[in-house]
Amino acid sequence: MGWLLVIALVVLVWLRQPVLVLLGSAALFIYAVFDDGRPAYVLYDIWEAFNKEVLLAIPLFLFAGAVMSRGSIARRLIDFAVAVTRGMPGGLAIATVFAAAGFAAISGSATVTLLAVGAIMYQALVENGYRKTFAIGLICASGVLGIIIPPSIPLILYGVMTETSIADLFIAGLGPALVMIAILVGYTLIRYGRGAAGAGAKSWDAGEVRRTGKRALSAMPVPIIVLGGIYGGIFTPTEAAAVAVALAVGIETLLHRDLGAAALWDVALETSRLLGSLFLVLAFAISINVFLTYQQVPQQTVAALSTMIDTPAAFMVLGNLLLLGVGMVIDIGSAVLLLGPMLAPVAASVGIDPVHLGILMIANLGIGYLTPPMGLNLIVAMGAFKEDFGTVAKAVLPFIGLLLLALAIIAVLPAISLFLL
Amino acid sequence: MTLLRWIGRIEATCCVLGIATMAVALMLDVGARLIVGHGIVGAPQLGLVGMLATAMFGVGLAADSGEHFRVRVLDGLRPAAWDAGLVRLGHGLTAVFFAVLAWFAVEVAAESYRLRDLTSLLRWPVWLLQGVFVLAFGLNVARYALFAAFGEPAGDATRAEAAASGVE
Repeated sequence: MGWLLVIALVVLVWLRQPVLVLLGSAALFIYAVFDDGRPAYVLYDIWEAFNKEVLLAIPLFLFAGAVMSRGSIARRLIDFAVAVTRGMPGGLAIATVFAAAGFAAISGSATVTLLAVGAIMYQALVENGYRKTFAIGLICASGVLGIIIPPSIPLILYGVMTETSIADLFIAGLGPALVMIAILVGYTLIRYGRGAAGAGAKSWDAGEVRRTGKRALSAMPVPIIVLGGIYGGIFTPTEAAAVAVALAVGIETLLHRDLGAAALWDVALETSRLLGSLFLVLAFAISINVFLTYQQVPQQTVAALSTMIDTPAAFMVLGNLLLLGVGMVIDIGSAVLLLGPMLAPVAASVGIDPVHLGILMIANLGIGYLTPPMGLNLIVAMGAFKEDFGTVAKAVLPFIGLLLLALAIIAVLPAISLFLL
Repeated sequence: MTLLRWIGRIEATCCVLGIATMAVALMLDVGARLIVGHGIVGAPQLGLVGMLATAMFGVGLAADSGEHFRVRVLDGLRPAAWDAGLVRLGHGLTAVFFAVLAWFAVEVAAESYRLRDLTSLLRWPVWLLQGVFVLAFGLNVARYALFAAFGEPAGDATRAEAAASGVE
């Protein structure tokens, strides 16, 4: 009967049905056909999924990120990063990477990071002598930091699906993020480190650094308290998300006075739309996973693959190729939900730490943001920078290479992810 | 499409109330734990109720703004002449899908009602909370049936096809 399901799914994709319909139909089908004929079990699984307290971290981080994106925190962080790197060859591009890293520690989203930083930095980069393609590629690639630097929504999804500690995943994201930042900054220095191009007209100004630093000061406690709280064991990720909401709303409404009740209503709706597009997909994925676990499919998969994948190196090569391919055609959320539970037992059987696997998955699928045809950052960049698809796709090519280099380093050296655990 | 607007308003109000419940419950819980050393009994469960409402009613809001994830690999394989008809057929299928879910949701809620199930800490009737599934799925049956019958309101479904998703 499996072939019938596959055909039905292909037809549904052709009919442009959303992923939630695909997964939901698959869940109903397998419970109806392969179990004891009670598809209502899917609803019980959804009910159980909605009782997982750890999932509360997702809407709260999304809401906090949306509040801060709507307010002036991004602008303040960028102004400070620009002031610090002013006058340095390649300084504005380096400021872009740092600003993206700083905003990533708040937003948890690659696309939100791209939009928040790109909206301000793209024009500034082009006006200061950077090639347009370099600016687009750098901003698109820097956006990927949004899902590597904690808090990261895909990391939470991976943690939920594979029962891996989300706090550990957040801690482990830091080292790989630094590798990516170093590679992006290194490439910038190679391209623009010599000569005046990209240095900007003004020279470094201590007064500007002080002034912008003071303005950015109100934004800095958010990542420090939230991530410091998780790293220090003071908060669970869910509690940290609640703290992030309190800080974000407090800073943007009371301190900066950038948001009123109407803006908060809009932000709440924006968050609801994101949750609405995510949670049922997550719940159906959990339901399918419950069924597969009950049927011992992960164990059978491990047994079947053990002849082909019997060393960590083999897993790294085949697993990463699979993820790169999947990342090109499926969004990261769905890919994590589907592949996380399938790959985790295989990785564990060859001795790969589940935390390391989680970081690898997110770093790998993050590259999918830059690869056609489904690269979300490409599509968003087309709209944000008003460029055609070909220009954007060409612009990100060298940066795909850079992120692949970062992925290779992270894959070969697990200590980069695990040294803080 | 007045009915669609009303459906959207109901969903939007439920979502905002859900987010407010979730955020306030969790913030008070963390605050209490930091100040008096222990959290508020039932606060995380109240947060889960808020999450349930936001996520379930958010499905409709995401549908209206075209933010549901979609696999696009076969997009180029549809004859342009068939497109309008296939779009409506797709909406009809989605309506059927939600109708099936709504049916099973009624079955599950009815079973909880018969068994008089209560939630663990808040001691609220489970069927009442599972009723959110019935309502949310039911509203989406109405939404997609209207889309299938009368076509989609201009610009709605595709508006955010390429837009960002916070998940990513």
